[in-house]
Order: sequence, then C-alpha cells, then structure tokens
Amino acid sequence: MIEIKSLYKHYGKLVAVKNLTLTVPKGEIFGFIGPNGAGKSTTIKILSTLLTPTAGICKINGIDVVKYPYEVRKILGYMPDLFGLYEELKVWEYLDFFAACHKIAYKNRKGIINDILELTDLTVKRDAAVGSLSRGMKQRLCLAKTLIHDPLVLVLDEPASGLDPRGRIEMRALLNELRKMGKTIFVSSHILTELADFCTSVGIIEAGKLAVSGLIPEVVKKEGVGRHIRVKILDRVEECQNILSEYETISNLSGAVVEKVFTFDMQADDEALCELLRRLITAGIPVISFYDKGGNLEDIFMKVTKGQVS
Amino acid sequence: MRDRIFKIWENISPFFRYEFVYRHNYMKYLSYPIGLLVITACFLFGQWPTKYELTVDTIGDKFYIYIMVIIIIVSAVIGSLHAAISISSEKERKTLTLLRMSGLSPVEIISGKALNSVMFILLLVLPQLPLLIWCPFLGGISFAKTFMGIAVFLIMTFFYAVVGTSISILFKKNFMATSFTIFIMLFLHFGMYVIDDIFGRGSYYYSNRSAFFSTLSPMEVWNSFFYELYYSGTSYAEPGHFKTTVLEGVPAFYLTVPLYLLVSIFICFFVARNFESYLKWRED
Repeated sequence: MIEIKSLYKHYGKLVAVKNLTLTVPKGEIFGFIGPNGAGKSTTIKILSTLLTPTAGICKINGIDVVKYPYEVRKILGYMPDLFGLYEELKVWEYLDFFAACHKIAYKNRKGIINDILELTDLTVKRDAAVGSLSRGMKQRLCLAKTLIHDPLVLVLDEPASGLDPRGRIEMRALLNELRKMGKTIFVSSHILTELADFCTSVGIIEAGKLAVSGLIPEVVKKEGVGRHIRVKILDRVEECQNILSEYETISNLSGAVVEKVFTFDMQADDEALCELLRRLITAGIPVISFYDKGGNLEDIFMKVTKGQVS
Repeated sequence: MRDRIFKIWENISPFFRYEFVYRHNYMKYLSYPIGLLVITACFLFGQWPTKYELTVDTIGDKFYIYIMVIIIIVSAVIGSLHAAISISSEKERKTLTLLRMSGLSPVEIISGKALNSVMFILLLVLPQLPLLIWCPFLGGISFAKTFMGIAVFLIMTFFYAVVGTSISILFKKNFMATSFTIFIMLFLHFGMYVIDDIFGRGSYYYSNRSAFFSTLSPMEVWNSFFYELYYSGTSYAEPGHFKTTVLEGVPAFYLTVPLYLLVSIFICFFVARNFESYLKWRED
C-alpha cells in the first residue's frame, strides 16, 4: 500500500532523509520511530504530497505522490503533528466544512458526520464549540476530519503527543478500531511505549537513514532482542525462581517476593514460551498469569540507533 | 451547464458557509452595513442641494457619484485587506495544511477565498444599492449607466480581492500581508502617476499626450467613468492620449475595465498554478 524507494531529501546542505526504502502492506499499522530531527516528519510530509523529494520514488496504492498529488490526497488522510482548528465553529460544522471540501454530497454529509462522531466518541460534543474541547478531544476531532472522506491510508504524525494517559489509551483504541476497518496506518512517534502496544510493524529511522524495518516479531528476532515476559504466581516463589534460572535464554530476571511476580527477557519463539509455561504448570507452580509483552521496542531502538541527528 | 454551475457552487460554497454561516458573526454583518449606510446618509445630507440648485440642475448624477465614491473606497481598502488575511490567517492558525489536504484544488482555494472577500464587500454595500437605483429617478443619470457603474464596481472589487489573496499567500503573518497589500494598493493607485513622471510622460495634466501608465491606475478607471457620466460621449483628454489613440472617442474605462477583469482572472490562475510549488519551496 505504501512504497518508498531510495528516498532522499536535502534542505540545502542538510540531508534530512538518506536512501530511505520501505514498504507497508495493506492493513498494517506501521510505527515510524526515531528521535527528534531524525527525518520522520520530512518523510511523512513527502508521503502526504506536501513536500517534494530531492530523489526517489514514493507511491501510495501504486500512485506516485510527486506526479499525481491530487489523486493521492483523495485516498490519503493526513494528520499533522502541529495543527490548528477553526475554534469558533461547532464540532459538526467543522466536519461539515471539510466534508464539503471533499465534495461529499450535501444529502450524505449528515449521516457520515454522525458515524464519524460515533467512531471517535465525540457524539456528545456534536454542538460544542471546537475551542471548548480538551486537547485529547481536539486530537480526536482532527482524526475525525482526517477520516471524513474514508481514506484507504492514514498518515499520522505524532498523533498522541501531548495527550494525558487516558487520551493515549483512547487514541490507541481508536487506531486499533481503524485497523479492523481495513485502513493502512502509518504513524510516527518518538515515544516508543506509545507505539509498542498496537503497531504490527515498525521502522526505526536515525539521522535520515532507516536503521531497521519489518514486522515486530521479525525485527525482534533479527535484532536478537528478548521478549518481555511477566509471570505472576500464587506461591512457591523459590521453586519458580530455580526453574527460570535454569534457562540460558532468560536474562534480566527479577522477582518481587512480596508481590510474587517475575519479569524477565527471553530469547524465544512461541513454542519455547509454551514449553516454559507447561514446565511451570507441570512442576506444580500455581501460575496466576503468564503475560508476553512482546519485543521491547526500547531495546531494539537502543540497539540500532547511535544517538545521531541529521 | 446547470450541473457544471452547481458543481462550481458546491466547490466554492465551503468558504461561503464558513465565513457567513458557521462563524456566527451575524452582528458584524448587520452592524457594518448599517454603519456604512449612516456614513453615506451623513455625507449626502451635507451635500444636499439648495432650493435654487434644485430648480436649475439635476442631482441624481451627483448623488450617484457621492455614493459610488464611498463604496469604491470601502471596496479598495476593506476588500483588499480582507483578502490579504485570507490565506495568511490560515497559515497563522496552522490550518492551511489541512485545507491543502482537504481535496480542494488550488484554483478552488484561491477563487473561493477571493470570492469570499467580494461577497463580504457586497454585503457591506448592500444597503447602498437601493440608493444607487434611486438616483436615475432624481435625473441626470440613466439606468444603463447606473448598472454599468455597479458592474465596474464588481470587477474592480474582484481585482482588489484577487490582489489581496495573492499577496496573502506570500506571508505567514497577517500583519506582513496587510502591510504589503497597503503598499501595493498605494502603488497601483498613485505610483502609476509617479512612473509616468519618471519616464517624462508628465501625468500631472490629463492633456499630456504621452501619459500612459496613469491611465491604467484604478483612480483613472473611475475618473474616466465619472467624466463619461458628466460629459457623455465627449473626451476629457486631448487627442494623442492613450484612450483616443487606441480607439477614437471611446472612454478609457471601456478598455481598462475589461483589462482589469482579464488580469484578475490571469492572476487567479497563475497564483493557483504556482500555489503548491511556492508553498513546497518555502518549506525547503
């Protein structure tokens, strides 16, 4: 769905993006990670037809973003990191304005706006002034505007920045909902924990260069970073610790004796994890929960980046 | 044709709805025209003829000019400045990116913003229109010339709006956009006379045969129109002046007003064509 080949962007002598190549298949939530000044926003602006690349090819659904920007805009929803809103308008008026801009027929607009307000959980704020909304609601409203023309691809630049924990959780749930609807989502962030829970694939960029990209399990495997496991037991702490200590693939083992919780990293595939759980159960350890937090993006990030900027 | 017109309306209408409906500035749109009407009424009251003047002269043409002068000033000053902040204000509040991504083409954005300013001016001067139409009943001016003046006014307002909108694209701050627009408007209105003088064409006297640039000034458009109103069919300029050398006996505004319309349309399309590349260049 998104295809970037040998992309370069120069700002005078500064090279913001260097030979960037990546592909995002349909229906993926692609997390584009990098520190500030890594070239994330530049790449996103090129994808969104707002900047012209110095060299390289960018295609969305097979359409070249440089040659056919207006065609791309019809299938693309872009949410910038810094955006303004028409604060004096009511929420439904704001959406109606953009629906009219997208040439959605007047008779269809009301239904579409109601659906999108429901999806973004803003129905109760339908008649509220945009200026009176909280930061989180404004982010959701901007996302609602981005969805008004039912785009195939969503490009979101730091969608959860500045949101409180509740706002982030709501934004995450909303993006998961959109993924279920078949949208391809390209989301950038420099907050790793923000992306870890809902991205299906990631790309890590540093100083304009793509350090690593792919499906999260593949990247985890490729970079040799352990999966974070959390085991909570009812009793028999010492026995559990002995079993876990036997595994060479387990590292960073830490156990909370009072809470009876063990956390550790494990270089293992799904079968090896099943095997570990089976062994704990067979040994009579009363396991309350066994939680795989997946690959730790922070570890991958720290491993593949060197703290450089463009 | 009907479908095409409806399509154009649907494309431009978001800006109209935004400006005149969604912003809920109803008091503004009520108080401004009434205020302008009061100013016009005071002006006309000051110019009201004596009983003797009423017996020897017609007053319709004089009143028409008085009213027109007021609405021309409103159009030139407020129209251009209203347009000057149309795009720069979008930049200031960071909504231009959303607008660019909204599916509207640059032509739709530029023409929509410019026509918005024209609509704003029309709304301001709306109460003056009955007064203008009342003038032929007072004598001294025909209905044809009354409506011709209104048509010239509309074209010049469109020109001011297009100039203001085009300048607006260049700046990120409203203050800069309005300042530069004032400079350009002053140049268009008065600078043309200076250019004539620089090239030794001496615009000070209308009778000067070589005056050229000043004929293109919006001031001269109205000058020509009002002279035509007073001295119908006669030329106020000496032979050899721009208007008489191009078409003998034809008032200058017959040529300059269509020229302004063509230039406005050209600017509109030129700016729209380069809108995206300019903004991308600014980003670089």
